[in-house]
Amino acid sequence: MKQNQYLWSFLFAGILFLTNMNLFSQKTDTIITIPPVDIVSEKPLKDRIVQRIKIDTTLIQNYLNNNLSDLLSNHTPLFVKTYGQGSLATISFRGAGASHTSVEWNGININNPMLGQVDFSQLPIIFIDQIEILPGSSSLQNNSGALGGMINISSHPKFDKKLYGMAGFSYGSFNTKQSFAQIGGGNSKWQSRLRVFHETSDNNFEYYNNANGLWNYENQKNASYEKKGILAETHYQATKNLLSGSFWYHESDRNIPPIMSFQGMERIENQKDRDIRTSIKWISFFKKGNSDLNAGLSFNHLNYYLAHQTQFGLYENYRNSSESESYFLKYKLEFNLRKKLFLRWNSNFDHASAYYIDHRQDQSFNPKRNTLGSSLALFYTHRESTSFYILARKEMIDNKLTPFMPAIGMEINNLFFKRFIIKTNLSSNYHQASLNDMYWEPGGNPDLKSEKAISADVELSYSNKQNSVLFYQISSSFYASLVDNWIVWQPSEFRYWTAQNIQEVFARGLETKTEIKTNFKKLNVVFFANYSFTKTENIETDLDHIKSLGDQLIYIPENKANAFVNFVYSGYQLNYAYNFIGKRFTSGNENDERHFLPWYNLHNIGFSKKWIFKQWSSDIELKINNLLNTDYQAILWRAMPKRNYSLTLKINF
Amino acid sequence: MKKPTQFFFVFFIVFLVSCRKEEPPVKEYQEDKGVFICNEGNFMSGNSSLSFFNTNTKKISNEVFYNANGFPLGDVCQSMKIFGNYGFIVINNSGKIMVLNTTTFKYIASISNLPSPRYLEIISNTKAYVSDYSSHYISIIDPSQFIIKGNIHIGATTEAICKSEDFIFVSSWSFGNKIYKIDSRIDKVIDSVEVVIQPNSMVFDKNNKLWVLSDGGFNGLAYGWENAALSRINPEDMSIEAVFTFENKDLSPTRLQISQGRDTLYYLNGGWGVLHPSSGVCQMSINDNSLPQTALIQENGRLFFGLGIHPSNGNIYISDAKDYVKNSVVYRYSSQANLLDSFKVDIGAGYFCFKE
Repeated sequence: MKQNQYLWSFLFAGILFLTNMNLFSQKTDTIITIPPVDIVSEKPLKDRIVQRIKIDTTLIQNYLNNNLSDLLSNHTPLFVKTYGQGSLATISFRGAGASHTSVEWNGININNPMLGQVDFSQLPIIFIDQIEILPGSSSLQNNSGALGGMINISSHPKFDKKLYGMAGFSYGSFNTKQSFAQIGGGNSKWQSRLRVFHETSDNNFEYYNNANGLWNYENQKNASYEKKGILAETHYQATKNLLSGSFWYHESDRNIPPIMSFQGMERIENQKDRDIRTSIKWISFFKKGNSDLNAGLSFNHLNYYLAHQTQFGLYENYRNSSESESYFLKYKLEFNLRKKLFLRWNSNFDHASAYYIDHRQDQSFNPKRNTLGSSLALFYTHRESTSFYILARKEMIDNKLTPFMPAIGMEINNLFFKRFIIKTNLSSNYHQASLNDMYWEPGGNPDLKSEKAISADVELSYSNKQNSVLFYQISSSFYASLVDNWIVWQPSEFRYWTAQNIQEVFARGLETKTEIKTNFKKLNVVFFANYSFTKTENIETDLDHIKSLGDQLIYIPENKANAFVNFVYSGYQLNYAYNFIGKRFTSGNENDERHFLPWYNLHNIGFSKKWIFKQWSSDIELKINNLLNTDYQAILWRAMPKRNYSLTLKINF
Repeated sequence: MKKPTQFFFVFFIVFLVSCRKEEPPVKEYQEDKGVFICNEGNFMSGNSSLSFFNTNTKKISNEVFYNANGFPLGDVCQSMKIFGNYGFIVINNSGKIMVLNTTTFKYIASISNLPSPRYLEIISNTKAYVSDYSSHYISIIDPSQFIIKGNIHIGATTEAICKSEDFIFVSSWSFGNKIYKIDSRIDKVIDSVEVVIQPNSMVFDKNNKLWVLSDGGFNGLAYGWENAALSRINPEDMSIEAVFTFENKDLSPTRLQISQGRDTLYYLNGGWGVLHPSSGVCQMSINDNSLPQTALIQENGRLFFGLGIHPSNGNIYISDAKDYVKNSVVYRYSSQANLLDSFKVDIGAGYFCFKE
């Protein structure tokens, strides 16, 4: 059995290598660069139909010393469930669960294979150049399993720069100190870049405690953290090839604060994460397309500790570590068969293994998994105004074939008027259970089926001409998704909880996006706004097998909105971000009028000044978060900071 | 250009105005006889609560502590004991005991700085013992002054507490297999006895014998997995007089209770929904020579979590915790196991405290 697996992977790797060599040997001309987009219908065929939300670089620049969770929470329809600054942040996308949002960094999946999810508080923006979001069905273009959607973060080489660099320091409320720097350079063939960051915070913010009967202001306890990381990358560009290698190391030590009602003896709770990620990418361009070979690894080491201080010293409740190792090998071929016909073939082999040990009980388990997947997509356009695709994907997990995953899509341009685009996607997608769901002891269930989603969406968008003085773009997406075999941990007959495929969830909703950009003399203004409506309910089956819609899933708001406006005027910059989170249920009770958290608004404001010298520039920026000093809870009885400030100094060359 | 600027301005003003603050409304209660129901809530969520069932009017009031005081009980409401007009509510994962007035439900005080309290037993006006899940001692508190007075080192974690005159018996459940005897006059452990692992609950019968229910752990527990057992102990010399072993190793009994006449034992067998003939509420006379083979009240797909026997009329109170995410349902049965009524309470209803 095992030999068989290795044989498979070996053969697979061999085929990929040969295919790439073959393409490499073709006499082709220079790199195909996509010209700046003007009218949307002139997008290359491969970029049509599929929904792709690209995060504007203005925003990425504005969030340089923040985490991906902050940016996505404030500027996308995605709902970020956060326990506060420095603490766990997960994402629910289109009403799905946290493990249904997958994240790829430079082509490799960085979801923790044990938990199935990503902690977005551990992804610093300084390590990210590009962010692309593929919601729902569109994610199947890259890989399976992202029932909610996929987030691709990547590095982007600057082949036009000889030497560039940046160094910054930020000091903020609660003794939060951040330092970050990058240096890069090379020539038009070689480019290398190094980025580092370090952040510490006491995070001992003051909050009004209305949870213990004392009705007073308290400082948050046991919430300090320290994070540091390094990202090194190098890129080599030849006439028809691009070779990239990147290495990411991240270290995070954080204390976990108690909830607001805690009045017990001191408690020590902390988590230490160590992440290593490497991605090597080789893209070959040829006349009619390109091929992309990607290999990578992702290691995570997590230590969790909980102890109670007692009259006779520390009493240890938990001391456990989880280690996971994932290896990836991917191959992608994109090929224009004819002018109107485009083909994309994706194949991947992933190996994940984990080791969990409970040091206190001296218990451990060591699960493994191999996944082999392949998909083929054909895009066709008819008279340049109507395009279609058809995609088919199949996977083999540990020598067992999974069901077939198909997707289809269509795009119509200029239907009623120019630059009005309708896109629709329909797919059937499967998400494998996480290693913990299957092998946790006790309660893991090796017989779990993959979660299945049937999703459909329609996107309508309109924009005026790209080079208009006042450019605007509006879009609305409607989606519906039925997820079956949703995994839930349930109390079992053995007095511990077990993972079971029991829930069926129907999620549907609407996402709207508005973008306005204008340049008026020296004044540059950008405005973004998002609104999302998410109805995500489990389907209940009564004793007569009659199905009915149950409750909104907990911690997913029906309504979420945000807006951002940025003004730039001769070196001065002013921005304002607004975030609205609607009512969220905190327990799964029908018509529950008691177990919920009320809606809240958050306002952040930033002001900066840039000075430009010959080859140097420097910035100073003041940020005020939670401008109106709002008391709120994102999660029940978890304290959140009131108004807070940060001052950042930056030097660029 | 002018229009967008106006738009931003209006937008900004609208959201500046939309800032608000809500103070929770406070309710007035005046409740006589009834039953307090401790709803554990979900661990680390801080959503535990207290319900009150008025046995005269048959009216259930939920979240009475929050409604009367405007703030929550805390995280994991484990158990409750009444002493005079005071109700002592043990909040396990908040490390505290909340004291309320049992008629008005108004908050009186809190006894904080405990590691992980589980159950409380009142010894006198000035002394009560509190068992603890995350330390090797029990805490001594003063139930009149609401302060911690000291502790008694046990050497193991502690769970159930039972009183017989000057002697207090404490079980060690988590990583434990012993029953300890404490002389409350000197606050010292004077004797102990080993039983089947994880003794979770205890009662005294009318003959002053101590009954101990051990769940035996479960498959995969590093501490061990044994067949569950019910043991009868002579508290005088701490000798084990009888052991009733559960034949099916998967069964995991909890919540040993006794009837008002202190001659009939009740416990929850299970379980957690498995259709075993003895899964549910089991009844056994203290004179029986074997464990009951069938349940008095079948679990029938429900998830029995809490059990209480009314001390004066013998009515049986059972909670169905469902999946611990939804609200629990409490079923009331007569002592002859006839269903009287049922009502919805809060998440994870686990403990009944009778106010007479």
